[in-house]
Amino acid sequence: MSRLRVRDVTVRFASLTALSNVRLEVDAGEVVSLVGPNGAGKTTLFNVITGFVQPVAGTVRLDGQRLNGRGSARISRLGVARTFQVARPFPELTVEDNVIVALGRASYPHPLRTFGRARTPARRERAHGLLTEVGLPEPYDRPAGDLPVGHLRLLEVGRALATDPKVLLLDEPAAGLREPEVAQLERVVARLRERGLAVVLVEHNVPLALRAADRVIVLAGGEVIAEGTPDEVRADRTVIEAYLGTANA
Amino acid sequence: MSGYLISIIVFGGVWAILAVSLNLLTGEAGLVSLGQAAFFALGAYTSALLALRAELPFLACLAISALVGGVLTGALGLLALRVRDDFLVFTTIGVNFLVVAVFQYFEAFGGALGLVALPFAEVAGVRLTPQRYAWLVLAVLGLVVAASFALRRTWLGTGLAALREDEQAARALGIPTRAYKVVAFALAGVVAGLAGGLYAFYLGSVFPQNFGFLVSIQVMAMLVLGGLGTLAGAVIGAFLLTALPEVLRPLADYRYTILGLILILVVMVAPDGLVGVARRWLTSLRRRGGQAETTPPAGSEARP
Ligand SMILES: Nc1ncnc2c1ncn2[C@@H]1O[C@H](COP(=O)(O)OP(=O)(O)OP(=O)(O)O)[C@@H](O)[C@H]1O
Ligand SMILES: [Mg+2]
Repeated sequence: MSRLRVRDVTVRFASLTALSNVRLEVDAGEVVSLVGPNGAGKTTLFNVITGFVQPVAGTVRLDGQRLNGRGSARISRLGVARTFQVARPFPELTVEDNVIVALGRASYPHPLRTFGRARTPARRERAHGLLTEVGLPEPYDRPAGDLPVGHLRLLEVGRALATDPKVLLLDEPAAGLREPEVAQLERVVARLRERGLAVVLVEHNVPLALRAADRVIVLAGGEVIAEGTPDEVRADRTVIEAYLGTANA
Repeated sequence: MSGYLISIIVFGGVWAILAVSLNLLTGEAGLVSLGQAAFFALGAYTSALLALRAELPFLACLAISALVGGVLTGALGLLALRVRDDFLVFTTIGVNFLVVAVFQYFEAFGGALGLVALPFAEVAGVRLTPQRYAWLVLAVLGLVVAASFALRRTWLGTGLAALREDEQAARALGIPTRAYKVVAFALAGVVAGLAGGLYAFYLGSVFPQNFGFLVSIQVMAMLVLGGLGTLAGAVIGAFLLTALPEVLRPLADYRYTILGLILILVVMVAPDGLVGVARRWLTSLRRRGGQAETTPPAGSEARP
């Protein structure tokens, strides 16, 4: 059984059909790149999986358990983490606290543990470990709002990992990163794959998307127009046309 | 202590407790409330009714005020979930008018004549002198400030901070923001309920007009003047604005005009309030001190 299974999801915003009958399956230990021109519906698909947008049809399942219809917080605690296309740190919290906040999966909904201490030495250490892992340089005690854009993206990845997810949805994590940071990100994704995470990578940097992925799904106008291994997709005429079409527009 | 000082301590303390309650909502969780006087009223009327009709002892009244404040304000929090965040402030204003209207129109709550002639506050059969009462108010204030500080270290406190900064991002990290909003209202209600009970017993009477919308504005002004989101600010702002009108008694007619001017001035010049100003001042002092530290030759111990 696939870890994440999206079936025939359709989303409408007023008269606009943002997604129609989209399917997506990701196994544990698999990286799937989701590519497509602007407005294709990539972010909308993430919003559906994480419960921020309700589909008019279709289902989302994690290990067979239905996710759609549940709240975003619950979905996160069940093991789906995401980053946002425009980084959304908690600007007034410190870099470290931004990560510690994400370590409370077991405590938040618990009527007693919710009054427990959040910043234990062990959790601070874990937060520092995650921040080092994603390649965010110290210091970690300054407000996250002071970080440059590239570092905010790394922070978001670290924060998402702190929820200890089974599925990780990355929405253009490389946008605004410099070369060494992109390389670092690629290493992180490879490591997560080895560790058995199911990763969906939305990326406009197509070479990176193809390099990092086991499978690629191409979305355009809310529909899946191609799907296959990176080599298959690279050779696909419809894909080239879809991209050239937007490039010329 | 002189009677004047005692009344400043008691009223300043009660307003400070109410400002701490507002800070739980607006400062910690980012939920803007302009209906704090209504939550305050729930506590005051609960104490007054219990003391007059059920003849319960003072401390029991106070405890039940906190409980009733928590439950009813938490229920209002449920209502707040149904409105968009930008309308929350209007909802709380509406609640303020509604609560005052209920106390005003129902005879069971004393109506426009209020509830008068509460018994004196007694603890273990001993009547509290005004001076003892002032100490009690300060003790309760110390307690709620300490509890607020402690809250920040918990998952709840951290989760509320995340909710304040970015609700969607908070939800994406597993924070049950809806439940947390209700809990924030309930906790604010407990604290406001305590303030209300203390207020009712000190005055010995409660009237609907003690809890009007201007009172909510006044509490917000205290918090903003002191520094929104800081507990020291809540306390400092409350005592300053309690003492100020007494000092400026000749200007009593312009009380709300002065309040409005102070608010506008703070928001324009120092949006982080007096505590923010003090902090920046200290930081710049420390920086200057820090530069001095680098000047002495190596090996000399610059730290005190
Ligand atoms: N909340 C919303 N309300 C109305 N329309 C929306 C909403 N969210 C997305 N859309 C529309 O749905 C379509 C798909 O948007 P989406 O953000 O999913 O595209 P995307 O593939 O992520 O594009 P990009 O590469 O620019 O990020 C767009 O036409 C967008 O304007
Ligand atoms: Mg997008």
